[in-house]
Amino acid sequence: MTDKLEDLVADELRRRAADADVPPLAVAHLIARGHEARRVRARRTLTVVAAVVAAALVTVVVAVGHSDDPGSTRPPGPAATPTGAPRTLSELPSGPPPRVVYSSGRTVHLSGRTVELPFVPDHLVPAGDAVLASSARGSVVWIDRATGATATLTTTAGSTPVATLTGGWVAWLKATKGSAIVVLVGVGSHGAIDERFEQRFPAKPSCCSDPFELNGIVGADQLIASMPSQQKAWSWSLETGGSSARPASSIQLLGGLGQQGITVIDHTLVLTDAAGGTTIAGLFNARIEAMADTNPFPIVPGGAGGQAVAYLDDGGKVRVGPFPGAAVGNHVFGFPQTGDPVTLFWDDATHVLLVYTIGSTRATIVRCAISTGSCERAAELGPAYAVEQ
Amino acid sequence: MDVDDSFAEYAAARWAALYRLAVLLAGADRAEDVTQEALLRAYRSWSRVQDAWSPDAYVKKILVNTIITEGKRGRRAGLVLVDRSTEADLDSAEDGVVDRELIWGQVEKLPPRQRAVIVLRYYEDLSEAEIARTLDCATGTVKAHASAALRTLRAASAEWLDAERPGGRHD
Repeated sequence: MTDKLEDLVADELRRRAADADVPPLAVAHLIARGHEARRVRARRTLTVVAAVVAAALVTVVVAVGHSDDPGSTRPPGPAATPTGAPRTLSELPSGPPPRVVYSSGRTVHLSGRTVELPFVPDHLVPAGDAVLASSARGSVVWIDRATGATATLTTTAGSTPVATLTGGWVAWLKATKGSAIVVLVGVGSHGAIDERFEQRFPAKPSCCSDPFELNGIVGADQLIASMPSQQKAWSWSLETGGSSARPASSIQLLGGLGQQGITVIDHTLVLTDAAGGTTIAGLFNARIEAMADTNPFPIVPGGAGGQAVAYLDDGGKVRVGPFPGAAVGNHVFGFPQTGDPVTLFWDDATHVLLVYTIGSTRATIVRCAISTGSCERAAELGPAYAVEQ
Repeated sequence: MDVDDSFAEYAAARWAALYRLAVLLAGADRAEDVTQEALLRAYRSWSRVQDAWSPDAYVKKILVNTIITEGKRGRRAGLVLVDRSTEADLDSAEDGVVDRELIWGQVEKLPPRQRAVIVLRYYEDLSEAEIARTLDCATGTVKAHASAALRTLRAASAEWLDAERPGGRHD
């Protein structure tokens, strides 16, 4: 019966595909959309074009909080301060909890359920249908988003884990001081480790002053590691390994790093300079190349299906613009200012999360809609928290 | 040939095939959007795509992962997938068409990664290793997905076969 079933499935799939009414493709339009990002990368003189892109991405919105800072060096976006708008966190209405996974103490909050861990996670890393909770002491626990089922991947990781988009591969640094060894595991259903590799990178770190860093996975399969102190970065292409990631032949020394640090957010390369400015970058023929101007504030890519970036300006307002984040024409809105430290995350394509650390005892997550600027309190946390990113 | 020409040539040549694959992976209503999105992502890193071992395989990988990712975001956004195969559909289906319609209905209901494994295996004729590379997972994971998907389809097909026997629903 199985053979007959497989034949039926194959026949039906071929029939469905053959019967599909294929619409025409406007190649020129597609390329024009691709040019939008490249124009920004080609930069600087095309600010009018970037403003048009930003306007297309987000329409004029209502601001909740404060007006624009007149001292800002960036062109202000549309903003308004409705009469009676909330000005403190306590005035904000309560809303549903974040859609992303977050933790407070040892408790991890998934959509509709909580999971207690044996440690306080300091990072929550997205891994497809799972999320990875990690601790500074080396534990990495796989958590199924839907069921809350957990599996311990390791207790000896030497770094925060990184994962591919689907969570099929998870990597961390081997916890050996002064080594440049990346552990890569294939993770199957229920968090079971199917395959395990150890990959030594051609780096020569000493113990502590020039650490070898595992930065993340860019795009679908480019694992990035670096030694900023030596201005070196490498990519390890998991793609070239077939079903099993293969060793050194697929490691490339990347050019173009300069004196910048590397972070990877939402599978996007973000460079950080000594002044704290950030630049969205891409890999082009084994070179790291900026895709936009440097933004003076930490950029968080990832919204709108990966087509937007957000950041907090020095006036405490959220600015949202088109990927890869030109510092012009950004949509902007305000929100209650408390004077407390605030961190920005994307909750989904149309909402950002602002985490206010209040004193040393608690934190509040506020969700704001980028289309309206309206905000609500989404969760109250203890002092030790983590938000999926 | 510059990047745009090279990409345009590829997109024009492969659009129909990628769209048909997207129909099987995501349904006709989403196929055009996800195929365009995948091509756009490919364009952004076209030099890397061209350098890949197989550019077409790489773009298919982008397409499959775009669909799985969008599906994940949809679930996280609280969207609900609708089960399209209803009893009314089954009853109105003509003899001989029932198996095909029901098979497709069951394929549509598979979780995204199981569905991808089935499509890549039985439509694209990829090996387990090639599917693992496309889905960015280990071969053991592919085997697990394939086994689960076939188990689901087999269970459903057994019901259909029972229904077609004398005394069954179509008797």
